[in-house]
Amino acid sequence: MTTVLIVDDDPLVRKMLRLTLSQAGFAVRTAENGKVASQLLEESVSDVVVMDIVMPEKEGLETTVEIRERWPRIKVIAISGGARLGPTGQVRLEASQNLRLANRLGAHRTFSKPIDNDELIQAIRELASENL
Amino acid sequence: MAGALGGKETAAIPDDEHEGGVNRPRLLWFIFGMCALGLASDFLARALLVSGQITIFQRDVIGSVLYLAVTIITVRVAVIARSLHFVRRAVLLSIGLVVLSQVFNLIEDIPGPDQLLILSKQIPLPVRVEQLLFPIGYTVFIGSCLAALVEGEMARRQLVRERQTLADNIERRRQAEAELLHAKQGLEQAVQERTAELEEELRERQSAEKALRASESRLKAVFENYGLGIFTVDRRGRLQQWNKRWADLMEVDVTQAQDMDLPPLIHPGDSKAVMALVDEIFDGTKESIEVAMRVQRRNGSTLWSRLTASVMEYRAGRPWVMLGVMADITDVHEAQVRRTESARLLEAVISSAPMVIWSIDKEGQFTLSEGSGLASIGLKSGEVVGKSIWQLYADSPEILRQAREALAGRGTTQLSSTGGLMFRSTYSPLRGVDGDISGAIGVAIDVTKETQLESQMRRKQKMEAIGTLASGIAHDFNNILYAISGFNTLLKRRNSGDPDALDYLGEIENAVNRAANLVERILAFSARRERPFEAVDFGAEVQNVARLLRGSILPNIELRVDVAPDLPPVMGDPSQIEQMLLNLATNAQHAMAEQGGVLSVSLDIAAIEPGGPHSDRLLPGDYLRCVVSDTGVGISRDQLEQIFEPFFTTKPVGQGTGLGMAIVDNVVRTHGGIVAVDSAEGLGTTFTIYLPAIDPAAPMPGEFAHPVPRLEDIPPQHVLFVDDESAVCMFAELLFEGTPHRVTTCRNGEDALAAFEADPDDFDVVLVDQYMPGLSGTALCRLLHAIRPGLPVVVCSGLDSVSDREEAASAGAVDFLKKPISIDKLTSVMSMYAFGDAAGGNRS
Repeated sequence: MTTVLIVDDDPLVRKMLRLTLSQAGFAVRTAENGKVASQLLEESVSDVVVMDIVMPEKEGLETTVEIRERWPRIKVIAISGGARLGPTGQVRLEASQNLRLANRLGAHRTFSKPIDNDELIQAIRELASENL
Repeated sequence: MAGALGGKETAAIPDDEHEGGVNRPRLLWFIFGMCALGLASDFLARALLVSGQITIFQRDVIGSVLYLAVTIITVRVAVIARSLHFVRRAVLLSIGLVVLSQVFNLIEDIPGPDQLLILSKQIPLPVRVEQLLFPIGYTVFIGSCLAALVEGEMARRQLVRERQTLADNIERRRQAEAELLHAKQGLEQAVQERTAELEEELRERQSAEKALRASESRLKAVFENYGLGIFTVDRRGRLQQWNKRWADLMEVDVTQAQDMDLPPLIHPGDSKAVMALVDEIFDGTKESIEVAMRVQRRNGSTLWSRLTASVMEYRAGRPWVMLGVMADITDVHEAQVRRTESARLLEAVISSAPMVIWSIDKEGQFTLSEGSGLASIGLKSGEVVGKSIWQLYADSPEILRQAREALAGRGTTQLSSTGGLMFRSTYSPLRGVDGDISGAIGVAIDVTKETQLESQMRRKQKMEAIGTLASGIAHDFNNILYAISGFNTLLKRRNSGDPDALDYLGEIENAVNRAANLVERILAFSARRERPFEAVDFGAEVQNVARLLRGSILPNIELRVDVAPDLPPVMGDPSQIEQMLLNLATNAQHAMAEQGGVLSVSLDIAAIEPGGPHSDRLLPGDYLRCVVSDTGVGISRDQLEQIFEPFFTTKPVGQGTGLGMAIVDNVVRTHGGIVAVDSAEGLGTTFTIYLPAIDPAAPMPGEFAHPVPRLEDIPPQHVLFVDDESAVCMFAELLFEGTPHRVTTCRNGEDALAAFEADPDDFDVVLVDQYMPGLSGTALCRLLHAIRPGLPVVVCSGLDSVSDREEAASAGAVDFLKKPISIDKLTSVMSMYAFGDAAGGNRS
């Protein structure tokens, strides 16, 4: 069974994805930020990580780089819902920049929220099959 | 006897000749005639005696009477002839005759007188010759005596007359002498009187001369020391006299001034005019002249002077010497020149000021109307002067109100629209020297362009603000939408057998899609350039959109597409151009939704000429012109100005986002073009878009408008990149990957400072985020400059506020970049400092 780690700071999205991906037949774990994700992966690796980019604490890009370095076999799907804001609310990087960055940092697929979940499921299946 | 006679006769001849021989023969003949007559009478008497017809006595009486008569006549004649000479001859002749007769008598028997008588009686006729001699001599003697007597008397009378004449002459002379004497006396008296007078006059003259000399010396002192230059010049132009002041003015040495002429002293530029005036003085045309002129001083400098001149002396009735008075007016003239120049400048400034300037008097009559802005309202300079503002602008209550306010002492400023132009009019009261209001002045500036720019700027800012907001909320919003749509999908799977539930869930999905679409549009609208521009076939895009439209267009709308062949491409983003065309088409369809109509899209090439249409907004060159027009309801004039405003819509709530036209405007502007709109209510609307055409043959740098060098082309740089966000730092690292540049990233100012301190000369350029925990960007900038002055530091911030820019500049930052930082911007900045100049940005 393909194991998927969902990393998103939005509990609503986490819950929705957990349900969706579970129903799609994946073994799903969730983490609310990169820090938690790293801990979970240390416990046991997943096949695929669905990684939100903009998160408090340890955020997506950093975690992606870490995964690439520590667990090169893990496939990362970066998802982003929008711009990255600075401490005073100003735009730092836009969603597309985030995803492009994620791609260059080692994400295998990128999706912009809102995502068609069918496409996401399809992408997970494809990436999981690559490791078989 | 004959000889003696003859001698006397000879002696007398000179007298005769002297007294007039003209009468001599006649007189001789006359005397002889008379003697003959006496003889004839004697013979006649003797004959009568002989015949006895008369007695001796009677004969004697007759003879005596005859002799007497002859004598008287002879004397008379002699007196008449006034010939003394003749008388003397007659006397001599008669004496001769008597003597001769006595001789005869003696020869014969010398009878006495008595015997003569007796003899006579005895002698018949003819009488003997000797008897005749006596009466003749006697007659002549008597006559001569008488003549001598007469002559003597006549001479005496003549003498008396002459004496009388002499006496008269003496008398007259005496009288004349007396008169002469009298005259002489008078003369002498007159001479005396005159002498006295002359002496008096002499005294007076001497005293006058003395006074004159004193006066002259005073005058001379005045003349010499007078504050104005005085000189005299004769009609030949030769200077005669001048005072010290004049010599000072002209800087003339007195010794040099000899033989000096006036004309060379006048500046060549004024010489002709001034000498013409001087000639008028000498011609007698003018009494005096006054002229401002330049004079040429001896040292070559020029002096402005005012010359006042008039005739001083006449010779032979002609003006001969002119007196000139010269004042130094250099200061006055310079002041005047400055005033004139200032006035001219003021005039020029007023008349060419890009505004309308006017003034009115208290009655509201225009007294001034100037400025180049007049042309834009169809007026000429000064055209309305003299007209009344109350009448001229009777239809413009706003203008009249401002004028009234100004005349009441209150200045006002107002924006007003006239003939499609926007003016900012300022009215102020005009006060006279006494402080009372004497009228009003007004200035109107054509602010049409500024207003347009302002509104564009406002629109841009508004869109940017919305973009920032949209970007900011998009993250959360998309998460929410994603959650909804995900749960919705889960529900649909669970309720796949319940058609109603599926129906409801479908509606939720539609709503989510619309919301997602809206967020996408808002993000698109902020028009961040996320992909590099490329050469786009605008015609193909139009055809592409036309294809899409044909599938969805309302049946009552006819679509006409006309794309000119062989059009050059434009630089741009095809998806944005497609979006722009779709928005325009959608808008047109909405305008014709009810009554139907024609939607036409045409594309051709248009050249923008300098000074031609749109040349104020576009650079000259070739542009692709896309015209999208409909025959729909049209847009009212008020709304035309607002249609490009974000969230402005005329559609019912829920039907339009109000972003369609704003996106069009934004896309056009980011593509370096313009969009113009023209509409008539009820007839339709036409949008015309101009996008700059490019030469397809020219090499493409792959970037639009401002090609920047690739990072690879810039000389190797060591960049210190400071941002508290790890993602941004990573992004920067990625950017420089594969380039000759090195980048050192720091998460905070303190780390950056430490890295820099280790080797300050190792870094070429620093990019620092403004808002970081701990040291802020500008604080770091100051610290870095403290270590290495002149280090190029670029401050970046997500907030493009004026205060941020000012703060960065005051901290010594060389540039300010607004986040998010694109590769283009970064490369631009890097190249600028790597090449050492701003022009480096154009090298590629």
